[in-house]
Amino acid sequence: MSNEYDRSGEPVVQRFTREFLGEPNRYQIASAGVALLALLTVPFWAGQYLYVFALASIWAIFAMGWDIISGHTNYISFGHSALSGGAAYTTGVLVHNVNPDMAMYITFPLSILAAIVIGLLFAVPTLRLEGPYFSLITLLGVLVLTQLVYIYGEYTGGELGITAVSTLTYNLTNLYYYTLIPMLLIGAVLVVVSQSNIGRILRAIGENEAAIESSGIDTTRFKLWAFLMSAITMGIGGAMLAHFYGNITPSTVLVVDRSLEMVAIAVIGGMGTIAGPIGGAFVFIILRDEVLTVFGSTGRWLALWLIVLFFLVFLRDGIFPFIWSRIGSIGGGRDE
Amino acid sequence: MSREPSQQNRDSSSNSDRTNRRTVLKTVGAGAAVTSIAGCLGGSGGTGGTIKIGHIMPVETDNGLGSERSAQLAVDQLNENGGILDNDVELVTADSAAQPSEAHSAVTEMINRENIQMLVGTVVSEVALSLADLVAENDLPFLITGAASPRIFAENHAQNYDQFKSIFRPGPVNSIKQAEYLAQYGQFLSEEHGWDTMAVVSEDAAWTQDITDMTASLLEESGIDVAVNERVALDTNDWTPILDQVESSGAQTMIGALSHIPITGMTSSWSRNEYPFSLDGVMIAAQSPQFWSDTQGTAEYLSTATSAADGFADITPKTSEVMDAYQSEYDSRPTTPTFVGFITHDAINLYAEAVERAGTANHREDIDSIVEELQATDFEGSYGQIQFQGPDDEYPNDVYPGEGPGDEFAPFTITQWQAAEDGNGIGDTDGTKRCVWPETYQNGDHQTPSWM
Repeated sequence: MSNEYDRSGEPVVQRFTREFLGEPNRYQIASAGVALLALLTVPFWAGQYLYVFALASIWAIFAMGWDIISGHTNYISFGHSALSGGAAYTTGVLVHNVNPDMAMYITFPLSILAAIVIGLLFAVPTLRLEGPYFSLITLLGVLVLTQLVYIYGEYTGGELGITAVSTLTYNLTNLYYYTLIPMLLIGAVLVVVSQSNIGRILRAIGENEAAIESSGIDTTRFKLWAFLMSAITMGIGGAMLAHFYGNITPSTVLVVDRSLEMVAIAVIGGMGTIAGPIGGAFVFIILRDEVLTVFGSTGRWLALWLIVLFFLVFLRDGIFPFIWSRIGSIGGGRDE
Repeated sequence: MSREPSQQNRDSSSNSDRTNRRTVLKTVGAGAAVTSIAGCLGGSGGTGGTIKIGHIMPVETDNGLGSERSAQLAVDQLNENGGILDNDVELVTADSAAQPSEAHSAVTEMINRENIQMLVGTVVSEVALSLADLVAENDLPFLITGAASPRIFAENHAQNYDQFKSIFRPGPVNSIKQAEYLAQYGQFLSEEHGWDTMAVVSEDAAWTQDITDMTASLLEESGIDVAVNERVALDTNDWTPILDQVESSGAQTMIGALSHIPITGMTSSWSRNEYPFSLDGVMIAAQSPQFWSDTQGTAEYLSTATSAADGFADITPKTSEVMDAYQSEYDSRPTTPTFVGFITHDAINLYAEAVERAGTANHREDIDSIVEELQATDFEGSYGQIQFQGPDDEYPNDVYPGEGPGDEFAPFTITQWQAAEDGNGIGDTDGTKRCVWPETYQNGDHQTPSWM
């Protein structure tokens, strides 16, 4: 990545795109623009897929939340659904046990807070440890939380779950924009973070943490900040998912399978790129809920995980970085 | 010959995809606003000569597939007799995979893409509960045919009848009644065999809570010693400690409530090791007509609660009609409609009669007439006589349970796996099911295991 800052006369927009998107050629800019426009106009060209697209937006939030910590620093979390599920359950438990009419402006911030607290409890102590401990403890975190939901079934509804949560809306067009716009905003913030110096340090931690530490940077502090951002993102997504389905059950929001789906989405889309996982979420959810359904409900999962395996073996960087660099090489290619 | 209902659905869904796409293009061409497109796609509820019935079940289970095929059977029979209100009837089915989120997504799609006029299905209570708001919002008639939680009605209808009025349960009776009946069955066993000690073993899931709480205490009240009342984890693999515990307690029967935990291993372990007690209760896997072959015959003497005696007793004249029609159409697993299949078949037919009486199936514009006629239902189904509880009853729109398990209304039956005479077993096996309780529908005596 180039680090030339001596361009004082450069227009703001140009400088911004150079800073945050590298130096995209016009094809790359055009295709990013087309993708954005396509997302904004889904009701006009894929009206019958609005529900799936709305769900994909929420999963894009989860995948980005995972990506900002795990995709960047290589501290791989296998338990991110503990954060989103914790948030969803906070919304549900408040509505179910405290006040069925509790307003979203109260439940939403509390749900995000819950995601942060869960993150602090399970992950933060382990961010100092190297090796597999972070992954193992996040994995255990989600298992512990799932069992707690069953044990405290009186408050959480056990495997029956909580159905008292109000649904965002039954108008699918509105539902789509209610999920898309927060997703794009979160995406914008995280892309900026990812492309800033903070993002560079996070990626550098992933490549060689010892080297970064020896240059005097307190890596734990950066990892903490990344984790905090991740937890907030997961909290927002989790609370949204609760209101999306209008019900919260362990299998919908919490179990370890949901964590693995987040990892798979980020892998398919392109780890460590933020925008990649957004695209990955749409690919993954559409495959899962539309395309692979021809194999039946069990066969569909088999096909899905085989596809993920294929990506891990043959396209480890993910679809979107691959496409991005291909488009970048059109017309001579300024790719490094 | 077996048919492929899902193939038909795929064809029909691609038809409606085309229609929708044309609608979209036209509207975009006209430059209309986003919301008007949603209006077009949502549909008005009136369809051109076809009434679509949605079916949601975990179709990879025997109960789910039996229900799907029985629904297809009901739809075919309706079409042979002129359809509903002179419209053709079409079945649209989706797999819930027993997951609330899957079901919620699938039903949202069925409502918005397929424009279904009625929904039937669900065996898992959390699935039914999670669909309540969605179908209520769309004023969609929803007939629940397997899920037994009383919460569906206590938490919705009893709080706001008008909002949830389109949701009914033609059967089975709710889990509180089931817990009560199970205790009565225990008393029957006690009288029949002189047993005075019993064990109640439930899997640790919400649907069994009433059995843990009520069945055991009702048994105690009637003078039976409940030596074990255990809840076992859903991931139980090794049954030896539990079977040993029941044996050492001196119980003469273990009344189980087991659905999620596979019980084929437990059953063969119980039979091969000749544990000295009988196995009874609500054993979902044992409801399958293939349970005998699944357990290589060790299912003999095991009995389970079910509806319609799984088709092995003539509960009403219609029971054998549905059973025969099903068996002439399908010869693969499950080879009988399963208890859910009977109720689903009944649900579709009683819905057809109700909308015929109402003169409309247009739920979006005239749900009140449809609900009124559903409420007025007095239908002789294949699993029993079906009426619904009134809006002011404890569980509005839930099936009227009658006076007891042997009543003509919503009967509750127990079948036992027994050896068949002269090769008249299910499929190529030498096992069959007989209805052993209640007496009204009994066609065989409850047998104690030969080794007891």
